Amino acid sequence: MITIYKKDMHNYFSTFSGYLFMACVVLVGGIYCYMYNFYYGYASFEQSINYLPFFFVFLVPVVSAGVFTDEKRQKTEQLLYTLPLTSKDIVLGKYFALLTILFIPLAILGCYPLIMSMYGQVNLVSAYCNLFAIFLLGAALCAICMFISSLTESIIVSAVLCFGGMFVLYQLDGILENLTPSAKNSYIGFILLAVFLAIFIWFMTKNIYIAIIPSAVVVILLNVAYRFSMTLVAGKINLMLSSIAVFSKLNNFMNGIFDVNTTIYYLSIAGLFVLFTVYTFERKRWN
Amino acid sequence: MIEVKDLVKKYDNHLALDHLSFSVEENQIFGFLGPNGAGKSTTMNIITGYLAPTAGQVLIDGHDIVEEPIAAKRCIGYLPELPPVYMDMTPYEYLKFVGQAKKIEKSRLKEEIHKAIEKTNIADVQNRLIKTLSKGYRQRVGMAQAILGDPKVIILDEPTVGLDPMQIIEFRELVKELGKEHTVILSSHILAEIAEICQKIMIISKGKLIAIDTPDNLSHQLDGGCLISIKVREADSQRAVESLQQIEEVTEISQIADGEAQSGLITIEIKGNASPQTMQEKISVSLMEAKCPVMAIEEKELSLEDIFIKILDGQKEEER
Repeated sequence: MITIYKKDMHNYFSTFSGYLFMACVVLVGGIYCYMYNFYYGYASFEQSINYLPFFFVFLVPVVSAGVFTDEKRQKTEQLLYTLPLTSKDIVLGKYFALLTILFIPLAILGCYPLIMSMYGQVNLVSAYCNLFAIFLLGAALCAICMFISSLTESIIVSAVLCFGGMFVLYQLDGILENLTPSAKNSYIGFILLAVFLAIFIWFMTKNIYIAIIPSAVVVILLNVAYRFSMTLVAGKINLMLSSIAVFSKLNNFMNGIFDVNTTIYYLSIAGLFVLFTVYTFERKRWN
Repeated sequence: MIEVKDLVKKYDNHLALDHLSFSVEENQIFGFLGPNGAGKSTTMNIITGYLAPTAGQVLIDGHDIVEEPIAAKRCIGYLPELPPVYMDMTPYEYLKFVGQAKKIEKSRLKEEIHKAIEKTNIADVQNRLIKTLSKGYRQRVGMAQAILGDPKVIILDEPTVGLDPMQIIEFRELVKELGKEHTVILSSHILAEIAEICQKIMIISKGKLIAIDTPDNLSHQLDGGCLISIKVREADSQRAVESLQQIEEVTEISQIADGEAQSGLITIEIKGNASPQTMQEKISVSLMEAKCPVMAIEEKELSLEDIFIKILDGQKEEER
């Protein structure tokens, strides 16, 4: 694992992508911090880094869309498979390298509250809680993008899918606000989700039966529930979507509260997608 | 050293390997011969653990590649068809990475890297970025990676493709040297290349084993088969063919009108079932008697297809 970690770190620091990501995060954080804290004189650091997640939509794909597609492009994937390393080692090594690249600029931004506290009262607990939450969000997003890059062969497809995925996740809040919790909306939403689920499982397993059966069960249950009681179905899609709206979970950390639920939520998402990546990587051998 | 039993690999509906079984002994140079798409690379990819077989078993030094992949892979150094090098690293950094991944002890790592660099002759480029190196050098870096840490088994997939003649000669020497202390498997679709360095050759076609034997035995199987090509004046061609047909050993005559039509020469290809030398003697004598001057005479190498057809024919006859 450490070998792969070192190799990927070397890669980030010898190519453009690692520097670009770190520079942009520091730049964006710096600009907002300058505007809010230094120019207008607000003491709240969390307010100024609150804009970072929006920039993650563009920046996270820059570092993580190529994690596996780059190996495929250079044909070095074959080397990774034939070296005495396990798939778990390879994926974790790559993921921890990503986390390090994410951590470095946030650590730099982490110095700002200390500088600010030299000139006035700063709520350090709240500032660092927020920074920590943003790191967790970034970790979850990196895991999602890494998983996407393990699915595709081309870096362009991977980058577009990563960016698209990030964008949809970011927009989920807006979608939720405009979605009336009616039974009809839920019905349509769940049908769409079932189709999406079937395509996703088929992509993962390439087995048509495993792909269709769970979705078919969902659709049948949905129809039964819809006939039986409209109120049972109503609003369920909103509940479902709000549970995958990763960006809005960040608000729980506002006001200096360390939210354990959200921490576990982000860690689970990261863990789940790392696991998916290990599975996809291992499965390629069997195709 | 390597035991392959009943290997099957299916891609969707296409059968890439069809119950392939063979074994390679210790310190042997073993050649895979077959046309493109015969399953050479697939077989190597399965032996090295890149692909998993649909059915069958591969044992490397007693370790099953599917059951104990780490132990099995530690015995193997592999150079795939395209050298798997990182463009943004220097050869030295790259070898260091591979050495660490192969779990070579820290104290020995530097020395092992040095040895691999020495053997593959890349010392003068070891601190340049790999993306600035030529194809031949990249191939050597890939080779250095494969032999790093002295694995018991070294597997090379079409290693001479893209090398110039000097590099090919150097490379052959290196493989011969390696063969003294390692088990080496290499693949090629060129018979001459493999016949020279391998102690045993396996011929595969369409995923099936066609023959497995020493180069000498294989060439005995091919005995009584040769292809001679001669050039005569176009005006004489009729007479030449007539007189060639008189020779007992000739089995097939074909005329080829090649691009040299202006020179007034025509190429005739003669297949016969005697040794090349006897055939050449008989042809030249017979043409001399027919007062038909021979402008050129040469022995042509049998193509792989000819060899397959010959071996398959031979097997069918034996069955009868």
